[in-house]
Amino acid sequence: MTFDPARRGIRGVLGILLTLLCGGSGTRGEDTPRERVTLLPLWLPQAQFTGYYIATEKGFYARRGLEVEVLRGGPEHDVVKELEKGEADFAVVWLAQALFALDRGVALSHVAQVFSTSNLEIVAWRKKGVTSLRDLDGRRVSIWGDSLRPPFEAFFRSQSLKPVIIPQHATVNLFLLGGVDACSVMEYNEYNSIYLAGVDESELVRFPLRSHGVDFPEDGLYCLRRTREARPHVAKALAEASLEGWKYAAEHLEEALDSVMQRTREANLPINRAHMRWMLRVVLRSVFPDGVRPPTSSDPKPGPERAPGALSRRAYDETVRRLLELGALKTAPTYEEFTR
Amino acid sequence: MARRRRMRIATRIAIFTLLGAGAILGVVVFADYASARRILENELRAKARYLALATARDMEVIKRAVEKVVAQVVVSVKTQLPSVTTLYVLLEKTVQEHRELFGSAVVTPRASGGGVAIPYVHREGAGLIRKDLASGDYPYETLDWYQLPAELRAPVWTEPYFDEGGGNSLMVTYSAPILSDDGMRCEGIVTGDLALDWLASMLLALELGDGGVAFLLSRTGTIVSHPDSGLIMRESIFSIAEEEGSLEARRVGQAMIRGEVGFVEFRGFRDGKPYWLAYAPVPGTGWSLGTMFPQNQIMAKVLELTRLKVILGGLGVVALLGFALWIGRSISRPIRDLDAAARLLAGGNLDAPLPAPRGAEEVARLTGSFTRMRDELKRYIEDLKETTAAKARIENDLKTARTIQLDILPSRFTFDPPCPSIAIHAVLEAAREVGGDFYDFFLCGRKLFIAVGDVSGKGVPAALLMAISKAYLKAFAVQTRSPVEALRQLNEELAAENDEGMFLTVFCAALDLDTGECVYASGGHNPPFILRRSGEVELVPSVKGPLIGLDTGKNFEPGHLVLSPGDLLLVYSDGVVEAEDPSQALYGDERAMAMLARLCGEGPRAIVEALLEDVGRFTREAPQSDDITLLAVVHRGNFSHPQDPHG
Repeated sequence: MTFDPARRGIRGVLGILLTLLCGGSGTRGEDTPRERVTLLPLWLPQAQFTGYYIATEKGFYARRGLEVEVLRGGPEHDVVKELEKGEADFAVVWLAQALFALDRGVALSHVAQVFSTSNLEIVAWRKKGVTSLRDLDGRRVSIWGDSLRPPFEAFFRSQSLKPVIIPQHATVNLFLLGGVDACSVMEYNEYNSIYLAGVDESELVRFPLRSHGVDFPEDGLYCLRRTREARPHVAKALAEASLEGWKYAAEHLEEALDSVMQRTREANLPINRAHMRWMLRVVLRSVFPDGVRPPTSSDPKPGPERAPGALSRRAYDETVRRLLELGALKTAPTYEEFTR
Repeated sequence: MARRRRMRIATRIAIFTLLGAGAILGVVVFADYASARRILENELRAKARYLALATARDMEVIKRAVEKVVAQVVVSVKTQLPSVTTLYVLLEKTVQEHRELFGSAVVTPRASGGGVAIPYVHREGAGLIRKDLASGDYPYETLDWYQLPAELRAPVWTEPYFDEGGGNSLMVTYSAPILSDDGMRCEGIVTGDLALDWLASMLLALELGDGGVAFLLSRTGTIVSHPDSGLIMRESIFSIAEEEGSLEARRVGQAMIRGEVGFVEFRGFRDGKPYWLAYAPVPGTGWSLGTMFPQNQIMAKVLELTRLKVILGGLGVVALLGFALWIGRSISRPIRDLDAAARLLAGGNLDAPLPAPRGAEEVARLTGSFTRMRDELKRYIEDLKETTAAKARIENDLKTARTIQLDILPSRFTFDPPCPSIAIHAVLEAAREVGGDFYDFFLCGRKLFIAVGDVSGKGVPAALLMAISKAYLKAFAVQTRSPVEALRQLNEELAAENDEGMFLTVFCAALDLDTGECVYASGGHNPPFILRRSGEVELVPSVKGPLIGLDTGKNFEPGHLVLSPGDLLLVYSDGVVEAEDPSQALYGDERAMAMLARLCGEGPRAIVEALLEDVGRFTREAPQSDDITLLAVVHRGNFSHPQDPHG
């Protein structure tokens, strides 16, 4: 994002107006230069990060005095490491990954919880004789490695299943070729990739982890603690603007998709719109579990843990408990310490 | 009105012709279109199918070549366990020799042990480049070409991928495991790469014609090659089906990646146009090759032909319409002319000209019939005129005859010189113009002759006989001065030459004015009534006498009676007493006599008129069936002769 001084005047007026309308929450005066902030998504440009793209393009960040650059993520990027190295100010990190980093001693600070539910699933071939969860026992199941694996391990542990784990990498081709009976998928991504490889839903059996008690919140916004302490207003503004971006995306799906497709083209990624539409629809359910609609005065005020952006204490405690149980974590902060 | 009627025939013919011809034209054009379409479809089906199969076979040849090369390398590696340097040489030689190969790599059993190289050779421009895939950040362990053969323990063609850090090209890789002798462990891998742009250029070089497009799908439906490079790798046939919202397209995609051969209608790749799609698998790879031809381009030829046919057919129909109108008019014109003439005819103008019948068709025959009918009518009317004129003449004659007949009868009831002792009145009501009745009275000296006759039959013959009879009777009476002799001579005269067998009845009397004596004779006539002064009514005594005019040599009996002063003699014809009422009852003597009795003291005129009136009352509306004659005479006295038998 380049800064265009010629447009400052208009943006200033708009900013002030919107500031007044929004009750002046977390905005900086336009007279002061905007603060440059970098945000590193967890992965390559895709609909998983729509809200941040929209917030940049629609000026939701700018209105709050931020000039946010959404960096290009991908398999070659380790978000936590890049936060540590200062290559990014903020990053999209899974709750579990953040807990591992904290366990390693990285001073991460939780800014906002964007995806409040888990999107992980295990998908199995019906034709291989898998019809129920129990059928997975002893089967060849490909599962991602590294920090993506613990939720699945927690799942197998809780269900007392002992499948043969095969490492799963960037594609689900091994599954499609029948090299494994089941594989790990994100509902918003690989599940649809399988569908878009011509496999009908009726050929598959799906085991969403969240339906079996393993519901780890996923994408959240994080920064280093020192960044938080130095620029607390930035973290707050970033969270608010990002959520506004998500809300806009939910209400303008195709426009938001245009923006996503633009990003994928710029990144020269082989991604199609049908897939991105699916992804956006699924992740929006995770961002707004209760749906998106303008609140009315008669609405009961949502509890802090149900509001978009908030981390549910129950989900946090449950995630920590399972990861500790699994031995994936040695220690974990309390909910209060984590969200401080 | 006439115009509308004429238009109706012509219009109806035109409409029916149009509808019929239009329907036939429509059916013909549609059938033609359908069959042309079918023929073209079949041709295209054959062409697309042939192209798909042929191209798939070409690709299979390349693919097999790669597989063969890789298999040879696998054998070399397994048998010779060459060093890395030797491997590079082997790979360079292999890639050099096989034009289709983009690159080739070997993962040796030792390489997976760590720290050892994965020698890779690939093309770069015109030359070859060596590269150690195990060095640097190249994440070979996460890639399909590395993982799939190891896990599947079988050679595999990967999905297309961009080999970042490796060949740095869009490619597919044939990757074969080097298996342990028991076949249970994967000890190494040999790969052969095919560059996608090379494949694409091969497909693009296909001369499809007709706007045809060839494309290649990987086993997951991903578009590997397509003239629209924006689709390659980015879209799959399933993502397009999803965007189009077309389950049908998805089913086609599934059939393609199942390795089926087919020919279907297909809503195209993002342009929404209908295509014909033929597809065939590239055996052993899971790939499917499709050739697509835009339907509208194919159908354009058929449509052009059809359009021409429709235009020509339309012109034909228009011409037919004109022809039909012309025929309609040529039929309706004579009918219209005939109609107009028939109207004049109906209005009475039989001399109005009828259209000349032309030819022998129906309308001409109808015109002929009309002409004949008109002529017949004319002739009939002429006849009728003549008949009517003749009838009028006869009627006129009859009228004259009546006048004459009435003139024959005395119409003045006085005498010259006057005869005050006699009062007389008579009336004759003929049933027709002329009648057969007559009456007569005249003085002959001191005698008053009276007579009433009734000729048999009615009408002119009766009238003629009546006239003759009256004349003869008067002549004979004057000559003989005797009713008996007069009747006898009348009979002789009439009977002598009576071929028709006609006859008459006559009552004839001679009243002596001085004495009141009355001599009478009757030829078959009703006996008259006498109304005495006292009011009694009696019948004149009957005398013998034959019907007059039938036989000669007959004699008549004379009768005598005396009329006292004031006595009235009423002579009548049988038309009085035989008058019928509507129920055919007869008036009769009794009623006449009773009526007469009531009229005592009245004069002859009053009595005659009263009786006539009473007869009229009796018959009411019944038509008069016979002549009615009444003659009444009163002798008022002043007789010089004292002997009055009633005295």
